Amino acid sequence: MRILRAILASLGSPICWLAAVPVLALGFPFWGIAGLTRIVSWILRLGAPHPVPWQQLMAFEPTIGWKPRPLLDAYAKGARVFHLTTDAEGWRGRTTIEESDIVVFGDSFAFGYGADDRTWFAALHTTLRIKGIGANGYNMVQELLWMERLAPRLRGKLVVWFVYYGNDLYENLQPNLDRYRMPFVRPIPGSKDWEIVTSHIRPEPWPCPTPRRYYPRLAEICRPSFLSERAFAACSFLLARGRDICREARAPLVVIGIPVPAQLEPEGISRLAAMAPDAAAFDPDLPDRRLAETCRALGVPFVTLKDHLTADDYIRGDGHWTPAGHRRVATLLGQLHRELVGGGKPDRTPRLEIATS
Amino acid sequence: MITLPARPDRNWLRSFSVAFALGAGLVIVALAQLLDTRPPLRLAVAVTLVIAVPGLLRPLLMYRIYRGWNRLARGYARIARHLLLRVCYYTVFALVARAGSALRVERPAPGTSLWTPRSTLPPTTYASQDASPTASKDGLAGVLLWSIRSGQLWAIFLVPFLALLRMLEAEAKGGPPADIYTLY
Repeated sequence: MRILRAILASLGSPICWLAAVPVLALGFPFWGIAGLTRIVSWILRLGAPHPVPWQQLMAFEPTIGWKPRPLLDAYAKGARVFHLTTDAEGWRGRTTIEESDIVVFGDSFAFGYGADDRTWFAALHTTLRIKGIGANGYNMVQELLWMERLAPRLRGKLVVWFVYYGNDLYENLQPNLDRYRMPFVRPIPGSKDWEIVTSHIRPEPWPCPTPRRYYPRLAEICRPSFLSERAFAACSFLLARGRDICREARAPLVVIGIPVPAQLEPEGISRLAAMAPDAAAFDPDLPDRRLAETCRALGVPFVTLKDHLTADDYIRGDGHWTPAGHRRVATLLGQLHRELVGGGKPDRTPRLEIATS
Repeated sequence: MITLPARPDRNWLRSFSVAFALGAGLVIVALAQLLDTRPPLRLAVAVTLVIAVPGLLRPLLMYRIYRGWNRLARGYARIARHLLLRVCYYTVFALVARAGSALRVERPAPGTSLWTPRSTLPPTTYASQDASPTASKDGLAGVLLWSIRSGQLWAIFLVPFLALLRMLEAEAKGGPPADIYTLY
């Protein structure tokens, strides 16, 4: 029977190919363009710098999860290949924390993901020295833990805290980022307070890596819901801790809300609303409003990048800033330093809209 | 792969603009041949340059065209995959089925069960049991080896079709960039 089957299959196969040829021929333009694009891409990449895999740029860090490796001078792959250097502690750029006027805590935005050393926001200011303390995928808990560790070195500096609405609000509550273990916050049972959990941080992979669906989560957070309340409560707890750390360190703190590009254009807002369980209750400005309220209550200045960036300042399909976006952020940081710390040359730029108590 | 990456970097956009420009030039030449006129080489070169040069200098200009083309390619791939599966089923499988079935179902002895115990799957299968490494790592070579080892030689004739189906698979859309959260 096996031989008979093989004979029958050998007879059926050519018939199948004959029938398939017209179908495949119809796709000739697609095959052609796909093949040609790959060949040209390969040729164009011949002279380009070779990016180092991210595994070689990041390392496990006890308690916090991960951190960029120190003394890097490498090319990495983002939306495009970009050049980056890190200092002896692993933070982006060569300026030390002690030398800097502004210290920015955040995630991949503070790390300058996708931007060259010459074009990321920290390198664009002519008079102020800016230090970015951040890494890809950080949540606010990790950023707060760094703030706590580095507090003795922050005195007199403007501390800026980037809060990215894309994943920070949700991931403050998550024990893992894909297969990596991540500190998170949880409410203390029987109390209104929260606690930071780091006991699970180990280099071993998290046993249940979950798919990352940020936009549906953000859509859910942008409407009154259990997740939304929990996310903003966790965020308030973290911001209050940050405020206390900075107050003790005598470093003025300012919080900057970073929207996802979809929150900045009507088409994106409709897309996000469609993902929300209740589109009518969806409010794209809810994160800005809730963070502004929290910051006002804490006496911490708050600025939303919605007032300073457009969707065109983000790289399409990537979500990080373009060189123009970095320039705008650098300008904003300069203005904030002038308004909140003082000093520097006066200029003609209008005063900032800063939400304060 | 018949489709292009859903998240192109500048290099991909540049490469696409060159490929698209060459394709447009070729179409003009081919149309002229079909219409029996002298191939308008200058026009073909001009069109190629008009598309390629801006695409090379400002690759983001090509993003919408790239996305539109990729959408068309995905649509074609979906239909082609569907048709190919049907053709394969109604020719190869229908013919092989004529040889009859080797499956013999035995009734269990009274009081016994044909259920077989299974152990817990590894944590890597949490998101999708079908995507477990053991299920996919062998690929086409695995099918080939299995057909030889098991004596099911007819399955060898399926391998080229499986390869073709794989080439027609579209790259997964959505989700964050593949390597941004590869950390250590």
